[in-house]
Amino acid sequence: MNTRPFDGNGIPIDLNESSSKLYNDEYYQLLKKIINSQNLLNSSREQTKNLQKSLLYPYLEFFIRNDQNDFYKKLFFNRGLSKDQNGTLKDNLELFDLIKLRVHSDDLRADGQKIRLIHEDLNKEQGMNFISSGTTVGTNGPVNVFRSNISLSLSRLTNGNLIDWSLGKTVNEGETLFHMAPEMTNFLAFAAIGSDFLRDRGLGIKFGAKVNKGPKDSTIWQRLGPDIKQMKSFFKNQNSTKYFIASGVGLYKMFMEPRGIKKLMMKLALSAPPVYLGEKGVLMIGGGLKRLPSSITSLNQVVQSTGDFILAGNNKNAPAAPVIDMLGLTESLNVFIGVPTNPFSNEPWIKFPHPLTYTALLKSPFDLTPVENPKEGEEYLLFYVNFMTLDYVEAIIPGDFVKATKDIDNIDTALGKRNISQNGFVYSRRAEQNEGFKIREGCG
Amino acid sequence: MIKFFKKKENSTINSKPIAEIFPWLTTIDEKYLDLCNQDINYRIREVLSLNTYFKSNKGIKKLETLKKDLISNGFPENAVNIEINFFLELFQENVLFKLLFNESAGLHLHLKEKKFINSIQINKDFGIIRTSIGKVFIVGSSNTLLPVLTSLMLSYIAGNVTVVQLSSLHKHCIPNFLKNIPSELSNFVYFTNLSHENKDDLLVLEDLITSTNWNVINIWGGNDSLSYYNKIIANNKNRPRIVNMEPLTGAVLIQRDYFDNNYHENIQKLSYSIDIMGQQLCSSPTIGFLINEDEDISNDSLMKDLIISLEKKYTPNNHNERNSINLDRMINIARDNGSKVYTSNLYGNNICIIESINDSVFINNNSNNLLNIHERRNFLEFIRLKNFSQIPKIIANIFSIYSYKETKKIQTILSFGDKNFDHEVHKLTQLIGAYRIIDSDYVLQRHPMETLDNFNLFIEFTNTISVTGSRAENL
Repeated sequence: MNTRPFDGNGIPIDLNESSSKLYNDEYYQLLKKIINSQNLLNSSREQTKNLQKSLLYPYLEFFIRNDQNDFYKKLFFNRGLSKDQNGTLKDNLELFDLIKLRVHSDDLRADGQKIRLIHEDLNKEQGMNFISSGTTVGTNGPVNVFRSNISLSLSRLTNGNLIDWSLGKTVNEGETLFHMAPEMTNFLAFAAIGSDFLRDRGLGIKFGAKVNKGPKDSTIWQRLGPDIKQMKSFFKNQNSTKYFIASGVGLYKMFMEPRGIKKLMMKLALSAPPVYLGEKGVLMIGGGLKRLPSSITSLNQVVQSTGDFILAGNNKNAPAAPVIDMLGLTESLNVFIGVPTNPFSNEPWIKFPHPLTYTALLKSPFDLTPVENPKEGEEYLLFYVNFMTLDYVEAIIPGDFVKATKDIDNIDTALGKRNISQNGFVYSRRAEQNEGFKIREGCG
Repeated sequence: MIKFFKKKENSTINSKPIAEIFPWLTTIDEKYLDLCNQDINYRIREVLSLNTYFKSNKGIKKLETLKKDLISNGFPENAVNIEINFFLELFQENVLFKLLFNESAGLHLHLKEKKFINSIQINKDFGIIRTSIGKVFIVGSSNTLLPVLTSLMLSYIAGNVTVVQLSSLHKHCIPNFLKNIPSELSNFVYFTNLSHENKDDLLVLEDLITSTNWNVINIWGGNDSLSYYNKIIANNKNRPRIVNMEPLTGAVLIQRDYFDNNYHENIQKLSYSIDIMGQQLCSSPTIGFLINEDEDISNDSLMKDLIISLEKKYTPNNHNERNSINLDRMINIARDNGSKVYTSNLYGNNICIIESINDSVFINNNSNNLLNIHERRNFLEFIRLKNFSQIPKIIANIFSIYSYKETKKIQTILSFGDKNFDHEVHKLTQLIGAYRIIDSDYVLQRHPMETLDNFNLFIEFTNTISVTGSRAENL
């Protein structure tokens, strides 16, 4: 039976985690207990650090216990975390030792993740593969990450917790428009995971794009077109809580690019802009600068241009809807979530990890040492370990530079104050391929 | 519409006679005749006199300008200094004479009383006349200065009209440097001033190469450059002699007990060999072999001491973020597949020595799209072996992987071993077709009597006329 919610697409409604071999594993049970017993996002930074530290050995032991072909036993030894190849962990390991297990995102392209998976032959019903957009040039193909249902069940819970925290309430009502096609929830992590937890909380989900017919050799991205009917229905809906979820390029194509007749036709077709999201409406964005023209150098530019057209209310005098920018990576089980921000504000967009995601800032690509006290505003390379990913050691260097923020216990947002359980960061840029002087080959 | 304009643009270039673009082409044959009438010894003396000139204020100023120009084009200062110093050696009598009267190439037969004798009788019924060859076209690479300057000087001395296509990084500074030096060289050497980045220039370049009856075309370049030129040259009906200088690399072979006999000095020599010119010379060792029958010998301290020695020479040169990430991925592949990885305590991955057993760790593990030897510095994988037998196979395999992308083969074997070991090295060199066996002093330097990848450039730039039978008596 197809239990996928969006016309047969997306993460299955019933993840049936109890059927997983890992269900009775002590680490999974420990995670469930931790997540269910307290609101981790209300913890202090110190408490979060202690929690992460307490999970270090159980987390590593989980992989030793469930190892396939001794991959992790060998890995932990070769990377200097264990005393032998039988999985005897060294004493006094610290969180920063996790950097030794680093996986660069590029290592997860094509079949790169396969060797790291602890599962043996899981079928399609027991998990999903997520694939990146493939916009990074000169690589082996898109990042391709398998997630088992049991990991997805944790993702559903904890991404839900993150959005609750960001919005400052338990999200359990409202309407949502994803500016993407339902088919994309089958492989695009941001679309799949986002739609999954919002659906799970009982929100109505619509998709503002559809996959058109096209040549056999064309990609889904090339065949993507607007679903006017769905969009119109969402825009007309008078619900007081509407969430509009779009990529930067989606907003650009809808509100910035159309000029003259095109703009007029769009207005006639959609009765928008402006878009009325209701009093408690929020614009959620992600995807960074992907596919945007080079004249756009920050997403701030996009939301400032579209701020007057996406309103938190149901009339033209309503204020601009707050914006939450999320960093969703194919290789991350959880999003790094932003807080509601006025689109015209010049405040930096800080992204926060879930407390069960250990985040470290590394000096630079030239020196991958975790920095103990990063300086506010300085650029570092991002590294994180997601303690909830049960499929492989999700200790990732995504190749993104972020700027450190100051140590604060809470933050003022457009929708009130929020506790900070772990320092966030401000996204800066991708690692560059700058040429520099190169003594070329053939020099005699 | 766009196509129409493009066609028109091309036809304009094609319709312009090549001689209009390069007026010197119309007089090139007359110039050659002038050179034929000139005694080669005149040019030798002239070139030798530059030794004094470059020590004069004017000469020093000219060298300073060249140095500044090269540095402003992005060449590292130390590399520029080394190259200029080697270049100046060309004007020393002992060096130039060894190049021109090279015993290993048989050119010493032309030397009589410090003069070059064109016609020589070898025996009663055989002799040779060595003459200039005619028109020489040289393509310089962007990496180093010395090859193109050496080619140019030798071609001029040999008595040829020489045309030079320089890389964009040298396009201005070399012609400026040669202009007004006290030599007639600039009357017989021409620069095309064409840029590979410009599509119109490429059309002109193709026309120039295919429509002129070049006698020799000497190409210094990488794989892409060689492929590009060879494809064009195939259309030249005159079939010029092609002197390709291929992209090659080096290997180091170590016999532990020999190495240990002079351990500290050898560590210094080895680290110098890895460090010099950013490990980017065709002779720079990029793979190593530790050969020892005793499997219990640990190479731990050797690796650590080598790293320390490299640290002392290290200058930061890695500014490519993506390459650094790929370097780390490559190192992780080695670690995860059981090789011992040694990195610097001071500079992290930027100095990395790997010890693998029996084969390169990168052969069977996916290191595609990571770093090739042109993108990494201070990085060497040693393969530990019991004897020489596996080396040819290992070497044959490594050129099929991304690490050695576009590199043809091993040019140089740097040997640290005793006489018996070296005899094995000689056999290996024959098997793999390498060109040089050296000690560490010759990673950067060339002995004046060496061939350059089997080419003696002076011989390539001359014509050898055999005179046989009774005709030899008239020489």
